[in-house]
Amino acid sequence: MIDASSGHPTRHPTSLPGDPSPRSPEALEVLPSTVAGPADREECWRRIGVTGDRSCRELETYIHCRNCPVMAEAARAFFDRLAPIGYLESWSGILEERGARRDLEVVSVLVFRLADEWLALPTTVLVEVTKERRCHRVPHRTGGVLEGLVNIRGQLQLCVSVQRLLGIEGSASAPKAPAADSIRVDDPELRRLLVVERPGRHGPDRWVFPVDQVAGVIRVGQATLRAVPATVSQSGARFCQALFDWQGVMVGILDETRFLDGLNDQVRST
Amino acid sequence: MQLLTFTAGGQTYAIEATCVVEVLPAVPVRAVPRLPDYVLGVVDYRGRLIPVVDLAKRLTDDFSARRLSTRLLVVEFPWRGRPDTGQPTPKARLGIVAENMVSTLRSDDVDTVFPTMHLENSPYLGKILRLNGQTVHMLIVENLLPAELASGLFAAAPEPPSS
Repeated sequence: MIDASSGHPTRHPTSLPGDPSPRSPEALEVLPSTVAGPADREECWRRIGVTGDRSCRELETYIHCRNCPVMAEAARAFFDRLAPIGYLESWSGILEERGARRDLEVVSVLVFRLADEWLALPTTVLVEVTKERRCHRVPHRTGGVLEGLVNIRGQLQLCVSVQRLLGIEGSASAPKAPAADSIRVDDPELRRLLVVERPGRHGPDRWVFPVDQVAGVIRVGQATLRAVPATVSQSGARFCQALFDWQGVMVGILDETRFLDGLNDQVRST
Repeated sequence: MQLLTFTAGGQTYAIEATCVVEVLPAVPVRAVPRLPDYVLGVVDYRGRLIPVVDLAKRLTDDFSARRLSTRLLVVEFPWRGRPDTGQPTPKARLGIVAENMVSTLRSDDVDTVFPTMHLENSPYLGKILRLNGQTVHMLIVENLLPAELASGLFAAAPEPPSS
């Protein structure tokens, strides 16, 4: 990374002699020492730090180089240089552009699949996505929505079947329209457990449920959301707050309040 | 309380992080003629024009040096509205260009506080804090601009778009 002839780090754009946007003649004056960059600095984190052989004694104190004052000082020195050509101008553009889109509300959701249905939950209620593991059945209580208990980080949590809550038919067979669903992958290895939580009356209200596939977290603009048609016959529709199109599939965003209320009702009543 | 620190003339100054809207690279400023030299001009900030003050020029004789660490800080400016109508302009914003705007401080471990000096020529200087071996001078943002200049600059500001 270090150019041996000059000692300057080569990965950073070098300073520029003529600044393209003088704010005022006085502002153009830059101390020569600030242009050079951290030339005299040995990049110790590459030699004896976390990206080196970890022999630095300070690591016992700071654990990671990013907590060490030496690196903080180097970072400070890195910023002590002129901006690369066009950098500040590009930020002018960003400010204007983001200004035009500023009132676009965005929700962040986790998209997952249950049998043939693609669903999404707001990430605000999501705690964890974890590998599928054994569910311990509870005598006389399991069979409905409650599947049993699972061990999540040493704690037993209620495991439920959202499929049964929403009334989604389990179809282990081939999808109805395989061509239309490009992101679907049928593989038991991809099954995951989702852990969701909301504050309840007696401490946090936590649920675990298995899903067939997790597609990831995406951000959806409010403008692209569609209302759930009132005529939808599926009973699960009452748990959805909106629909949106994503990579050619229709995804239903679950209303977290109604969804968790529904789980509570179903499990406590049986 | 968290403080955002920066320097002017080699001295460290700070404001409370709660009044910071955003810290940006020091983007080019559109100059406005016949303003005091420490008002650099205006900048298009997300669809509105905000006035920009060079802190180094306000506090010392020199402009801020142009480096990556010299940044544009956008703050809430507590402007009380036009004196003639008394109508407050909600969310008046001011840009401040200052050097070495790269770190924050926690004020939990303040050692000593030197109370605000009431200086006629520099009403924008607040209390002086001593923490972690550093001496930091707090800035009073609303006094950075003289009242007359502030009402001139902000009276023209449109209502922020409702969101």
